[in-house]
Amino acid sequence: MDEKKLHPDQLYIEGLLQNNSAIINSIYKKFVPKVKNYIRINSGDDDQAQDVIQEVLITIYNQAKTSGLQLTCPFDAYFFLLCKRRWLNELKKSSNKEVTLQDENVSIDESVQEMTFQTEVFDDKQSLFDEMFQKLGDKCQEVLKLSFVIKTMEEVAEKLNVTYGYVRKKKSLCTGQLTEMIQQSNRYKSLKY
Amino acid sequence: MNEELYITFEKYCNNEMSQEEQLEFEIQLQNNANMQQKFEIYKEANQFLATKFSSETMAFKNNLEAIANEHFAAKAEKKTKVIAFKPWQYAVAASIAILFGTWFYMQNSLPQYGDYSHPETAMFVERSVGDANLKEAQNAFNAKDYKKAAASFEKVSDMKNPELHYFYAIALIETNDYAKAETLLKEIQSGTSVYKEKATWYLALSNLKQKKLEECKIYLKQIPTDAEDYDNAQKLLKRLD
Repeated sequence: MDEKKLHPDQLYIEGLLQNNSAIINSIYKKFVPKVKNYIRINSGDDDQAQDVIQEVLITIYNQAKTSGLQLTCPFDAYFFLLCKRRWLNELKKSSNKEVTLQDENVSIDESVQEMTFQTEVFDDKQSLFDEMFQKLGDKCQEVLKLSFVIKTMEEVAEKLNVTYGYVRKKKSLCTGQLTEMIQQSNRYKSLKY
Repeated sequence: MNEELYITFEKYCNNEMSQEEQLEFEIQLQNNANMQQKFEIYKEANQFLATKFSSETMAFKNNLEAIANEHFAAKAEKKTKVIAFKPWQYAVAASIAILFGTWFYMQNSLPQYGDYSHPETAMFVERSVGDANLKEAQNAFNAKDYKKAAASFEKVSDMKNPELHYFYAIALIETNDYAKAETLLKEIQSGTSVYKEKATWYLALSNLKQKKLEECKIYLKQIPTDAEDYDNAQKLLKRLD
């Protein structure tokens, strides 16, 4: 694998990661209108555009935070393609009708495709983890949530009115249960890594 | 499920193994593909949860939502009409502004309960588990509907934990049921829970709300320097003196 050069637009990724309002605002000013327009001419409205855009930005944030995200292509193209493909999926899900698209049919740069692909794989995995987390018992969900929200396990134990030893053990067993569920799911087996 | 396996994973991830144990674990891992896969997922699950529940992620999502709303609302708002004032209307507007200003100023001379009471979000019920009354109390509390919250807390059958007492007491202060609130708070204060010092803080605020300033000061002085509300207590003390 060749070492690819980091694109200067990495600043948008860092800005999202640092929750920098100025950068987020500039994303909305510079890149969002194009997406909004695309969704509008493809049977969507502003509310739907807003949702798609927010979901995509959260996915980018999650990927950057969880596993690092090194942008090797312009942010504009990467962001637009992610939004576009997410919107197409929405359309496919919500209608059985054949979807006809107004498309400019430009060829897409390889590095943009590669970046988009990575983010979509990450997102698939993330949603699988999320789905399985929701299937855990309520007690497990609570213990796991608290053990990441609250700083120390001592405090978690105190909050739940149980011993430190119990909460430690419970946390590893609940994560274990989550692990087993994910490993056994068909979706995990079909995920491309 | 092999429970021992996950307890070992957790120990390894937290660096709680002796060198020998660690070595043994790594050798085992190398020779067992299934265990390797489980370990990979286990680590990823930890990362996933850390991101999902990090306070930074919550802050980011809230900020993003606010910025998005601004940008998407901007167009719609441009259409609002602007009505021009006639000169005498300016005079009227100015006098009203001055009146309001004075009124607010007078109100501000005494510290108000509302300036200091910022209860945290109640989070004791997860989804559909447990007592329906408790869930209702939690939702009403978070929606600042304290009357309803207090009524729902009243109906909860199992009110044994200090956290519930604490939120119940705040709802009672909000609805001016001071005696009951203070009994609950004093009970928490004499216990050892994390809500111990917070109870003292709310005892002070309850007295502030009733304009019993001397009692309020006594409680404020009891809040130790390492308590979360110490700074607030000191600020309030300064304003009362």
